[in-house]
Amino acid sequence: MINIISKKLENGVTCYVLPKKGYNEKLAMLAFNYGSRDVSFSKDGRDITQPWGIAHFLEHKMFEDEKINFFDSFTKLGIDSNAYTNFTTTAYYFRGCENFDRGLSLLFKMVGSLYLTDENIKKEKGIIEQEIKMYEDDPYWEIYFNTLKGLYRNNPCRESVAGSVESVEEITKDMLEESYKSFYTGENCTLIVAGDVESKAVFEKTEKELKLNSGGAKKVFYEDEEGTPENITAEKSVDKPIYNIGFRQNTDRSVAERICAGNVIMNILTAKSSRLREELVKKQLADTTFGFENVIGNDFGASVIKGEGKDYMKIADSITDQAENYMTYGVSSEYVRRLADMEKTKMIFDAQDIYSFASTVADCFCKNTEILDIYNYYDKIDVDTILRHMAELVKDNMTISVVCGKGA
Amino acid sequence: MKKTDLKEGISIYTEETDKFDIETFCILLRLPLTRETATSNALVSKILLKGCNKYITEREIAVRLEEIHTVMDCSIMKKGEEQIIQLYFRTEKEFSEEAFELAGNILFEPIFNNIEEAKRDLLSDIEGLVNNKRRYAVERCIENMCSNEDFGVSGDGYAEDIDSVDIKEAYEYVMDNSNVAVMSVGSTKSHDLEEYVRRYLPFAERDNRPADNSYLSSPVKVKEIEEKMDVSQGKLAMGLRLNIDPKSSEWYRAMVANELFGGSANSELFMEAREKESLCYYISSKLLRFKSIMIIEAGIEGKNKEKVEEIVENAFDNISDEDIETAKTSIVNSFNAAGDKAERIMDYNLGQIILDIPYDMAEGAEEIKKVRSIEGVFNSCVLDTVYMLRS
Repeated sequence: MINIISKKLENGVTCYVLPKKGYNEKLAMLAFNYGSRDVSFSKDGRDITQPWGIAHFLEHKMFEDEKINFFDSFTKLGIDSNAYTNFTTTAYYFRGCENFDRGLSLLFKMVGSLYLTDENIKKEKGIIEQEIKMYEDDPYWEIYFNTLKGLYRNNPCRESVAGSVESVEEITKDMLEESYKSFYTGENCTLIVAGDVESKAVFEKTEKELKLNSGGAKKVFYEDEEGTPENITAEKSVDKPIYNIGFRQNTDRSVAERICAGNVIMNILTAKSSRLREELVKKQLADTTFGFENVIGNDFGASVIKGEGKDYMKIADSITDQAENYMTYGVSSEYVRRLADMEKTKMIFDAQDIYSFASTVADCFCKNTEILDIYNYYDKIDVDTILRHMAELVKDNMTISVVCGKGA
Repeated sequence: MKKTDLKEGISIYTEETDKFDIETFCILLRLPLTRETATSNALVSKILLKGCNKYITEREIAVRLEEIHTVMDCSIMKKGEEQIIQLYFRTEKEFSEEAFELAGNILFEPIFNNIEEAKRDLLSDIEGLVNNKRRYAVERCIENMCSNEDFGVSGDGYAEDIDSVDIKEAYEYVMDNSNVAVMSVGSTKSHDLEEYVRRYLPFAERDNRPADNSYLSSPVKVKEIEEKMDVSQGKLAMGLRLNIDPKSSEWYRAMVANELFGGSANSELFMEAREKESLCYYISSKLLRFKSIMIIEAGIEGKNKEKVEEIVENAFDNISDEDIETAKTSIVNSFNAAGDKAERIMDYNLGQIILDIPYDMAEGAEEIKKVRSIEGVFNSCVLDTVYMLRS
């Protein structure tokens, strides 16, 4: 049900085609295994550390060229274009019903060179400063990073993707050029095309036209951290406290396993079919906002239970107690199977949308896994896998991050 | 979509396609949006998934959904001056009938055993709006702008009205008075859907076409509203009256003009305020068709408000026919792209049903292609309300 064709091209690029017969729209996403976490790296024997937010800054600048604004050029072709940066990925994409071939050439041209002037860097700083301030008004954004800050002391996932106003101010032309040369390489790149297209033609065109840097940099990877996480509280204008209860994941298992087991466990604890959730709602400790998110990278991972309300301490107790119960008494294999099958169904639902399909494939590429590895892992998952992961849900591996109203 | 009238006030709509690997359905209960009924209608949307005769708790319903590989959600939509309860579900092909059976149980045999919980859920939605400052600013702008119209009523209802709602009465009101549309997108055939509805959704006949939206207005004085809150960045929302008949062909000209004005990343507003002046990260304009309103929103420093207002004013003079083809292509493109998403197919068709105009998406795209000039289209457009959230 998840149909995907892939090929590693001569220029180092890993190419995926997601065939969608009958779709009007086509989407191409070009993603680099380079994200906000990659500020430290070594290149040609030198150790380099750059300011936070540089990957995101570079993403903004790719849309400009000496003569053209790429946004404009895409729009003139009747194509929507955009980009995003997260911890591990910088992705550029466009989508449209016509001019796909020309769009693809334009996308290749856009990432194939970098145009920087002191003036256009200065202008971008102003825009990014407003972007950062927009995030500052988003309590969910704040709490997300505070959770990771609470769990990790060294891992760069603790820093906000866009950096801070101060770190962005430090960014220079040389730094941007260095990061571009180091990470915008063929080996570091994936091209994903979704829609009613011929895979062979896409592979050939990409091989011929996509010119990227060679060589590259060596990334720094971080060891799993020990020591009790800290709790972080922040103040914002919110109607009631917002909380995240995060548990650090060990990274000694495959990313596919961590994603699948993480999703099943979090469903056991927080989904509407969960007994724990039912009990918490009955006691008026949890409400509709109660849910979860797994944040997973190669060298970090967090299982995060989130919600709104003042009773987060009691909820944290209930979660760790319940996890301990499952550790003691086990969990039924039928239950695990039902949830694993439902996760597969949700993956099929998501794959109907070309953007969410493509971004999942990009995400997998940057975590050295494949979407089908994850899909198929759900068939393998059993009670033992679940309990092995459940063992991480203990207090000395937990952070509670809260955003509460001013003066609360 | 293909329409079949089953009974007075109950219609089904199917889009048969083999594009998707899944089936998408929705049951829409359309009601007039009024201050008196907004809260009770919204509460009904919260109680339905809490339990029914066959699956008596929210958890049992959720377990059943997992068994039949289905995701289901019940929500409230505000579309012009209508408040619509939507039961939306997606499923794998082999489970369509089971999914309808469950939807029937949920809609027709609720047991109201968790009324307090539903009330808390609704309150949490209403109070939670403030956590999204951007949406909050737009909602507050509309509320102030349309304070004398039903459109100014909140689709989520009001905290102070929750306690006094009698849920059974509210439920009966919804079931007896809503205009019903059932939609499917996927491989489901029209006669299959008809059969599902006859078997599992025994709605009685009703005579209740919702009233048309009002859209003409010429404010004498601009309403200036400022609200203080602890924010890092100010949120500006401006509401304008277009005074263009949303059913007329003039509307398609307005869509093209809006694309150039503030509807895209190379629109006048975006280029001036963001790219040239670095005043903001986001600025955009959108049209609320049912009410013939334009909303402009931007995240800016409080001190730059006048500058941005000036850019907005100038932008009306700076858009021209020069870039019209690009804008048209972009809109036609989004019509075509909408056909790849079940929710957007449903949403588009619901819009046409509300406006009572027959165009399908392809015809909508054709209307856009016919636009030759945007000259003068915003001549009757007047600024009504300027709302600013700042610290």
